[in-house]
Amino acid sequence: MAAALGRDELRALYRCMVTIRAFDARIRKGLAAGEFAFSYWPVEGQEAISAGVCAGLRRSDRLLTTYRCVGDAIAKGLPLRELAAELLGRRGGMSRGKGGAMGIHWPDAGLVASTGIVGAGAPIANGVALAAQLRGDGAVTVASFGDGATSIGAVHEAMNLAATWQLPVVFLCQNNLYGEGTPVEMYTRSERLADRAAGYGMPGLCVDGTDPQAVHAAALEAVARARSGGGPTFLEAVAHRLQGHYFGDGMGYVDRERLALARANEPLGRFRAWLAEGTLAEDELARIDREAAAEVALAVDWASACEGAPASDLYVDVYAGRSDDGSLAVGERREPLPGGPCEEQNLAGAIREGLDQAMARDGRVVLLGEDIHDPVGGMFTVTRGLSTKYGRERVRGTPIAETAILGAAIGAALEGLRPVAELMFFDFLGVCLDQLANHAAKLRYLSGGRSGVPLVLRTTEGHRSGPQHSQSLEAWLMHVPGLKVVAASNPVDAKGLIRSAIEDDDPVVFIESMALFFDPSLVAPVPKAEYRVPIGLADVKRAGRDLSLVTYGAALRHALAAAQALSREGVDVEVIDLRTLVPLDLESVLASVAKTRRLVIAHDATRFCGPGAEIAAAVAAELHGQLAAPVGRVGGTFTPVPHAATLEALHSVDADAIAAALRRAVA
Amino acid sequence: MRIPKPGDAILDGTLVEWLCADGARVEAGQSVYRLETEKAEIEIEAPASGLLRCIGVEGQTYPVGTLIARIE
Repeated sequence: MAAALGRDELRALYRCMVTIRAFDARIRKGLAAGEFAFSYWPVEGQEAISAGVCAGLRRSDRLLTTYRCVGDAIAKGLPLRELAAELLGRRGGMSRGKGGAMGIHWPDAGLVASTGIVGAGAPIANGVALAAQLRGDGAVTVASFGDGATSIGAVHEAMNLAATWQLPVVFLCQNNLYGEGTPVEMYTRSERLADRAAGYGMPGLCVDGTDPQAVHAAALEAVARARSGGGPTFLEAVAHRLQGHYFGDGMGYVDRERLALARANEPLGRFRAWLAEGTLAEDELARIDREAAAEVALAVDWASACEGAPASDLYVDVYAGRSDDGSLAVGERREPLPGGPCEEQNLAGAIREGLDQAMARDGRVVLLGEDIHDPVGGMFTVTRGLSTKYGRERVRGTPIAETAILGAAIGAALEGLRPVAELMFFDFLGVCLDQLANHAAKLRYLSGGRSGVPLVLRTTEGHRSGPQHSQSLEAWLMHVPGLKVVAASNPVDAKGLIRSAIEDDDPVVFIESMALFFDPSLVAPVPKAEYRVPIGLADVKRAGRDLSLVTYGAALRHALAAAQALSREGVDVEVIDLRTLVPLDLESVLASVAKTRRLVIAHDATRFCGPGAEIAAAVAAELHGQLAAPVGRVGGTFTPVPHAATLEALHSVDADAIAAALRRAVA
Repeated sequence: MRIPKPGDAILDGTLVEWLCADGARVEAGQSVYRLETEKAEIEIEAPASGLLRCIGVEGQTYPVGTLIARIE
């Protein structure tokens, strides 16, 4: 080992490694003795990687890690007590015990997040780094993950985007030779994982991950490159994991000889022996050992003595703002639209104006998505002109990589920006759902309220575009606590709703419609002034006495046509546009149905388990006995959206289908 | 020493064999017994040094959390 580090730095490196080792051992000891019980992923053998890399970082540099987090967390300077309490699921944990190893957040020391999803931190690291790049403060972001993560698409997408944008990221691959219970050579033909970097146009380094000084030297090189604007590096550090994938893992997949060799050559003992040869005296090393053991013992004792997470915490931090009972603030009541001049706008133009005004008002608003920059300006021209007006720094065209887009938006939001990401078609949700449902939606909760993800995901429900470009998937997302879901039915609402979505402190999915973007019948005078339409407030589009028709989004125009038809038959239909699905304005729905005693719900989404099912159940529960007819539901058939026009017409909701349901309800 | 929860979904474990005799002196980190669960068979180490007092019986299956030994 070449001694490039001074004595104090070497001492600190050793102290860090020995603390990680002691902490990991103490947790495993408690698990083995049945003192406590939770899922735990040991780090023994990988101490030199965490310690070596973090020694090359500033406190203000950022780190994202995984559920195998203990080494990274300690090396980044997290307090042991709060770390232990989080693992034990206690109130004193850094995330109030809600996240465990998958919810390690300590922004004060730059630890942005841990994740339980292999590879998912890398796309988020890009967004954190993007925020630093835009701030220009030189902060570097490390995305730490295991070798197994190199097989997953998220990491590929992240590395390609980081290289394209020259983001200040270090992709730290802790190669412990096993992807869970599968040896590296069984899941890849790559000789060295770092070789892959060349394919992205970024440097790749491979170091001995049992040598803290070698790791440190490589990390310094990568960090310096990132800090100076030279872009990302893929840093692979190889160190045999000395324990199982998880505590209790029988390790039957491990080559016993290789493991014995790794144990005989384990990094802490080797580094200690090297230090004892003239760098640090034995009694000093022994003192550090004792101090680390004592510090760890105190921390775990403190954590054990903490009370469990209390019941009153269950609903707290699902959304911004305290809520003890799970109720969601639905924003202020209706504000009048501003006076002054109006301009005739279609839906696309109204959303564009809403984005434009938000960007002009707030420099934190950045847009990300495929083809959103000029000259294309978005598949449906919603962002046309904005990159020309605000520049490519704030209106960022991306690769075709939805996980990378979402991850970058999440990371940027965690850093205080107000990103608006575009998912070109709702159907592409499946390729980035992990980022949205497991990360954007959960990070506030998993961080015990330390973090939040104020992003907007704009997306489009297709129309006559075939089975994979026409779906209405809002029900998928209504099922995810932590997300808000908004659907605009007309230009005036759309302009105000997009502004509210951008200013909301929680992740908002903003659903637009291909059928509505350029529909001339929807063109309406839209106030030129800035205004907001509150999220969580339904709108009565047509007052009526006999029957309540609840709908939203593209189905609204059919609902209004059906109501018109029924009025000619002497039935007075009240039409409610929900505008927001989460939070759901059940109050407005119940007030209407209490009056009319009849309810029909209509939406383009598949009827089976669609949004209407939840609304029908809620109304039935509240108004049981007062209803004069069964609740009617109109929605898409339980089929894919067919390409053939004849079949699509049968699948889809139209005015005739809604009118038929209305007639049944008053029969 | 209580029956641990070595992995998700594990509800109980079988004390396969004591690796140290009742009353023997054990050192922290020394393997004390073999535990078999639905997922794996592993050796469980002593959390502390002292005299081993065996409570659990070889071949018996116990729920997670059952006290099976003391180190005095």
